[in-house]
Amino acid sequence: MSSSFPRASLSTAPRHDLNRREFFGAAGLGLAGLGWLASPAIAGQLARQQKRVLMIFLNGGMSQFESWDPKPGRHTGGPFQAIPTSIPGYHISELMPKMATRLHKHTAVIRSIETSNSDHKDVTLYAGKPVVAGLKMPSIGSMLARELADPVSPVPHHVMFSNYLGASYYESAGFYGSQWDPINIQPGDVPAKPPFKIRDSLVRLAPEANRLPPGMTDVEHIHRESLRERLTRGFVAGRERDEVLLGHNAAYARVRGLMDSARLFDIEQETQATRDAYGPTPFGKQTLVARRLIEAGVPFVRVNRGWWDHHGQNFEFHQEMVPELDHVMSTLLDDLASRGLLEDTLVVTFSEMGRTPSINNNMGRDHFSRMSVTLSGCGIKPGVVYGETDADGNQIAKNPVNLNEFFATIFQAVGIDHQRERIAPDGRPVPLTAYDTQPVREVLA
Amino acid sequence: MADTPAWKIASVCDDMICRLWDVESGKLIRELAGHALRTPYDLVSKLYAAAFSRDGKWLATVDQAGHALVWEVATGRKLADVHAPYFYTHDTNGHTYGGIRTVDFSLDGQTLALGGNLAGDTSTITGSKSLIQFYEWQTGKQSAECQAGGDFFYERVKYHHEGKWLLAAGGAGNGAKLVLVDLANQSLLAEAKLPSPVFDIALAENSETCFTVGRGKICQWSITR
Repeated sequence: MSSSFPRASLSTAPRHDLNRREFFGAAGLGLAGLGWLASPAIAGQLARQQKRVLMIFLNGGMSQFESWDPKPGRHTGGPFQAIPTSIPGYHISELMPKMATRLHKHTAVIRSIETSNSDHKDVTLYAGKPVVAGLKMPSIGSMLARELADPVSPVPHHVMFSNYLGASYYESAGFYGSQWDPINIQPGDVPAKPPFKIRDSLVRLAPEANRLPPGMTDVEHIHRESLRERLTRGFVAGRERDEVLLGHNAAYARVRGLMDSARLFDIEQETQATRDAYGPTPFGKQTLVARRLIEAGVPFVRVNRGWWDHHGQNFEFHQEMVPELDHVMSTLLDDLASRGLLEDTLVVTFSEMGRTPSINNNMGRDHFSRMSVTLSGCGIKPGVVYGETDADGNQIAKNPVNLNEFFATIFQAVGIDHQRERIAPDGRPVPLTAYDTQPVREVLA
Repeated sequence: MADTPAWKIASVCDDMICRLWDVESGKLIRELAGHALRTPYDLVSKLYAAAFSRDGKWLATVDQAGHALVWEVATGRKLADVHAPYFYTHDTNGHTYGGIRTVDFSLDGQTLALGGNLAGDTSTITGSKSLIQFYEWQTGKQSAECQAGGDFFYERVKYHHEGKWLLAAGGAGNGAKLVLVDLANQSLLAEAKLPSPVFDIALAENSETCFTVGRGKICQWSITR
């Protein structure tokens, strides 16, 4: 293939003439030396724990009424019935028959999350505060990725499968530096005009960085990266406390590592039976890739499933989407358990908000700051249903949980001190969750 | 549900089966199964509506993925599968929007009027554009189209008893409408605002009166020149 980036134009210095193995070795050392292993003792401890988190984020705001907190027979309840679950006395929507039989095995439900947010913003991912006194805060995914990262693992440490509104729900590492930003796998483009065609390219299961730009060879990319890394290293000298700056080199190095991780994103490596179990939907396929990434040691993976913002025809849409969530989630938990991964993997379902109890003229539900979430697997006491809403689902009736408390529970479940402080570039200590936050101990094992 | 003068009722259900019932005995005559159970991205589909031809000979059923099936009532034989792809849309998650939400036969039984929305998100209040398309079901060819109405989907369409116009209703938010569509040039003859989105309409035999059924309200309308 012809190239518009001739090798001679990049560097001819002998020391840049690295072979692939040497390059990856160098990249790995560069990664280890640039910030995220500032405390080898802590890193070693985390490596031994090997905990991971897989978050299923329900973009747009899934209705708690049509899932984990149904109110059948009430004027707010909608048309669906509730069914008993394997947790005595607890009922969920009839749209979730598979999870209904599994809840006692691995899962705790919190029905009393108060987000203080009722809009399509990513503030929920930052416990409501993406910026504090001018300091950009890290999102929950970036915090977990950093705390759980295995220093000797060659795989990415933060991967996100986006959806068409991905930019609105972007995880950002804030002052942690870009190395803790997610590798964001964007969806394919839907044609602007109908009729819409069914296309395999719609479903992206691997990041664009898996592929080189057109016209560039692998050797050329390695040489280019080597030159960039050397120049950046010189610029960084003397600025080692700036984690944002340091993060750039690590982030670029990860691109090469990602190319070497291409097999992780390839579900063809799975048996047909496994692929069939997850199903052919984009969400099912992406969740299977997420399981592969978790299995390979990626500490934080987020799969987005949307779009749940059903101001109109709420029940039709939930009739379509909740059974898919039920199927994929139950398949994922079964799969992780059968592989022995669930003991060390926490599966979270979460959203930016819930839906209103009132049903509007368009048979829709609008934005609501209260919602239900689930925690399954690592560190969780299964079969616990925590918190209650009132008879119509208007108010939290018992045991309200705010986002800091929810995040603290996640951190504790995977063995992280939720009050641990990280030092911002200006010297401020910043805890993982707000000071004096307590986790929901009732759902912790 | 749809009914015929021959005392039959057709019901459609989420299991994608249309059932023919005998009104007098209340007994099931037969089940008509032929719609795909899943949308192209393998999510559960929906069977939205059914309509008999005026002579009761044929029955049409329409689904979320943009298919209209025509059945021979006497035998249950499937006669045609008309694909109207502009009614079905999806997003980058394969999340389904739209669908053919309503159907009616022309007086001669040769044309299907299909109603729904074009390329829009029916889950948002103003995210879709109303659409009616006309198909000659025996050939599967589209013969006409009307996009007039507004940012909503049509929930019901009914032909005038002499075929002079088409009554259509739908809506969302404050945009719920009842419209008369001129069949000659596919433009709106008249429109009226509705108090709420419509679930169903009924047109009197002389086409001078109609009823709209919405959430908590049934309205009677007089149709005059």
